[in-house]
Amino acid sequence: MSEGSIGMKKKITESEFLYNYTHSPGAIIGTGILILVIFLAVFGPFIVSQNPHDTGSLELSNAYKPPFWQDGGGKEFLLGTDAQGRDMLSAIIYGSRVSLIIGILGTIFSSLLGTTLGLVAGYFGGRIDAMIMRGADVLLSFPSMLVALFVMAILGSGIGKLIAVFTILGSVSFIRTVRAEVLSVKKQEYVEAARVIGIPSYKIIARHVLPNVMTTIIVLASMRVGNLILSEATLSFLGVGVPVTQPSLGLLVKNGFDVLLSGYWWITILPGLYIMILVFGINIFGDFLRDELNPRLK
Amino acid sequence: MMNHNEVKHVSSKVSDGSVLLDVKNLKTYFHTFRGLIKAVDGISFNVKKGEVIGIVGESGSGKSVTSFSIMGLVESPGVVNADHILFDREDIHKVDEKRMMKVRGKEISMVFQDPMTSLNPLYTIKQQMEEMLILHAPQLSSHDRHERCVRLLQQVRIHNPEEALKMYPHQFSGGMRQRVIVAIAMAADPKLIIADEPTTALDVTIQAQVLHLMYDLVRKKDMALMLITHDLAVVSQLADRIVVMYSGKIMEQGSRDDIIERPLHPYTVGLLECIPRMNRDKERLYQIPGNVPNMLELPKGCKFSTRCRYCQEICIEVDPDPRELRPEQMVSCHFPLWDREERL
Amino acid sequence: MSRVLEVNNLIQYFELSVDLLDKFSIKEGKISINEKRVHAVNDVSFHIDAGEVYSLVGESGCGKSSTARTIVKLIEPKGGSVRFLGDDITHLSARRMLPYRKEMQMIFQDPYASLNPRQRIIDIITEPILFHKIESTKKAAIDRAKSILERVGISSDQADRYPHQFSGGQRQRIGIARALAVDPQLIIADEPVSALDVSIQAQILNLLMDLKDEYGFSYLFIAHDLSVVRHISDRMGIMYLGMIVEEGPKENVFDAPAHPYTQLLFSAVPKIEKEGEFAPIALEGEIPSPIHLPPGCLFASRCDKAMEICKNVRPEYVTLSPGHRVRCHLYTSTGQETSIDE
Repeated sequence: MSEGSIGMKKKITESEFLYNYTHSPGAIIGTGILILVIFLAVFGPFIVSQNPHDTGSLELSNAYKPPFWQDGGGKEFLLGTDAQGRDMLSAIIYGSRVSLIIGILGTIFSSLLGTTLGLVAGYFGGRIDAMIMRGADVLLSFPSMLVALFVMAILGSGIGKLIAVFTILGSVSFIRTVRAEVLSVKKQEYVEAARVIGIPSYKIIARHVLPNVMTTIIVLASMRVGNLILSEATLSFLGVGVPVTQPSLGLLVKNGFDVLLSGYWWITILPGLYIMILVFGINIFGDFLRDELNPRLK
Repeated sequence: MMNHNEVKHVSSKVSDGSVLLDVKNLKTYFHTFRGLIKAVDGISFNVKKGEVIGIVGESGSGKSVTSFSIMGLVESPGVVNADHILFDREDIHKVDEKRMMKVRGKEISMVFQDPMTSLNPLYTIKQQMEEMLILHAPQLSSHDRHERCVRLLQQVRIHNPEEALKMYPHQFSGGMRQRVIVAIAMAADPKLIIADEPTTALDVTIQAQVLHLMYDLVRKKDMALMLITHDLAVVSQLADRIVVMYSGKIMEQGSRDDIIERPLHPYTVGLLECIPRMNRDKERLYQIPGNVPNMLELPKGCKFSTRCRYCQEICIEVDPDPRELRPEQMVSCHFPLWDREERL
Repeated sequence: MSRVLEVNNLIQYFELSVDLLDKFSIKEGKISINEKRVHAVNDVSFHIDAGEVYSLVGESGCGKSSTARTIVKLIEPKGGSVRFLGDDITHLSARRMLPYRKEMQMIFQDPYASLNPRQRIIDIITEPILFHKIESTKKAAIDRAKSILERVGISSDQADRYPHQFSGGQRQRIGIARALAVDPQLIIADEPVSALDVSIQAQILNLLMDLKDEYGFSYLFIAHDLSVVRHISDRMGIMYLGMIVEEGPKENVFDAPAHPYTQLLFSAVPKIEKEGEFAPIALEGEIPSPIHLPPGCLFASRCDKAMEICKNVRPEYVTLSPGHRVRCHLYTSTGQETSIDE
């Protein structure tokens, strides 16, 4: 294409981002959900009536109250209560804090670890590349859920442990993606130009390579958060995730599961629905980012 | 190798002068977020039966968009408008897609720039050649089809065509692939071949081969060839007539000799002068100042006015209409260079 | 005249089988090791004097770019030697190479890939200035960068912009400014105009020549376009499959191309002037694979003048006239003085 029009096309895409955003219902719905969920997670404790972790405040007489739209439900417990008389709305909001913290921190740490290793493997190549990639292959050759389950079963439950396990397992996809991207950026003439000048490798990576793989990392990270929240929910549902004292959404689903068939559906279905909405919001927002930022889909 | 006498003989069979393709006031606009891009802005030209016409332009001149517009391949946000695009007296601008599918490949076929991506890597050469024949010559039996493929490959001088048919594109070099593409383009005996930078991706020795082959074949089969390229030397060697485009407009068109030997538009003159020549030593090259204008901020008057050294007030204000300054030589310029030797 | 660059018997190849496992194969019950190598540069020797423009010409895959990249040590040489400014730099470590890097810069082919899209123009130019401590303060570096940008035709008001805001020709000017920023003695220009529009090529070629006269550096010019080479070079070498098959002063090579490949190349270039019908020398035969090079002349498989000896013995240089030498058996038996490359 034309000299002039390539420059031009680039210009268009940059402000086009905003334009496309405002014209993409998915992106707007996604951000709407995310803002709402994060707002509730941050300011929830000031809004809801109860601290569900404070067992002292629970009244057993309030147990198994249905949500407000069903017979027997009331304004005090909008979404009903569980077996201990815990307010489900409060439990969900507190639970979403735990889920989000694990999802976000797990993603940040795994992207940091994965990006570093991916940059090193891709840029230097050779033996160090082989070592890192064989390590990643080993991790990939086991179903990650099974590994997580196994490790968590040995270590015992805990938010920190969960984040650590997710960091290591989640880094594999970052390593592979970043490395692939680095391999193509490394061949660009501006990287060669920097090498001809004599600039040392670590500076070339920081100044010329990393900034040009950043969008890929952001896109991948946005896709990972939802993924981790689901993984965490699965592990917690299986009883090896978060400790019972800090219930996440997954654990809430598990707690209600035993009484699901006794008619107390809300204890399990409502947190489940919340996970679904949350992950849906993250994913459609991530899809939009991927479509917009990934040059290969353009 | 081609015998010289043979070439002479073949090329003497030039067009009988009847018009095959007549494009009138073609406008292809792209409505983008940033604004309106007038990629092609009101151009008119024609292609006569059996003639080789060269469309020359730099990037952004609209030369490729022109061919896509003729073929009805412009996609949203592009909008094609024209008074008419008459092909064989049929207005192919107004026909429906179903009819157009028949025209593409059968009546007009295309050869693209990149021989690496124009062929599907998953199918054999035979499958890809037969696809064209099944579509446009369904009456052929499978045996006849095979024979036809072999003959086509022989025409583009691929040795062992039987073997070649069984191969996949990756087993071929770039030059061989481009020859296969030429063979596919010729498969249905079209009346017009549009070749968009057919040899730009090839090495110079291979380029010469492919060009020579295409030239030879269209002359033999009396097809018309529309050769779109940035390379003046290539069209100078092959074309009967040349159309020079710049920023979506035709600056000048005329016979090969008029355009190359006696150009009148300052842009054509500049383009011819700024190319380093194989047989001419010069201390400094003539240069056209400035950059190709941004398609979103095209000058109001003559599109070349921002870079033209003969630019006057009127050039900035008024876009010149094409005028026939010599028979068949149309020039869009307020001040054509009748005395270019003195003025350079 | 002082010698800026001297390349002797340079060799470069790339391993195809990177993985250890690929290296072994089982043939007839025996494990054998197969080293698959692409021979990119095979025994290339030439030199460039101060203020001279030397061009390496050839088609894609002829090894001209690999030669350039080996000389600047983007790839480590696999054999032969590179002497730069009188010193042997063939095996210098990255740190000991630094002072030479300042004297040897590169201009790249693709104006869209040669500038980091995330860096402002001013940062692109000041980076080498500060790194090589040409200026000690940031402010002085910026001033220097701006004056170089002005020199190559980029307004210094535009220095804060990003690469995508410029056209291809302007980007190439910026790339040239980056190379100039450290005031080198040799600039390696790898197809610097082949990606540009015709009307922009002349501007850039004129600029390159003006800068050479002004700053007095030398060029190693890598190109495939013979008309550009004719315009710009003092001396030139024609490369085919990693070898220089013919070398000499521009006038000699253009006036009396000796090697059949050079003749083929020249005949294939379409010229604006019509000299009868367009009929390039036809070429038959396939280019040999750079993995398995034939023992004889590399061009023998496509050469219409090939003799028996061409298939078996690789020709040495024959000097035709001072500085003009060719690797071809056609000239070894004709009574010309046979001198082996020293």
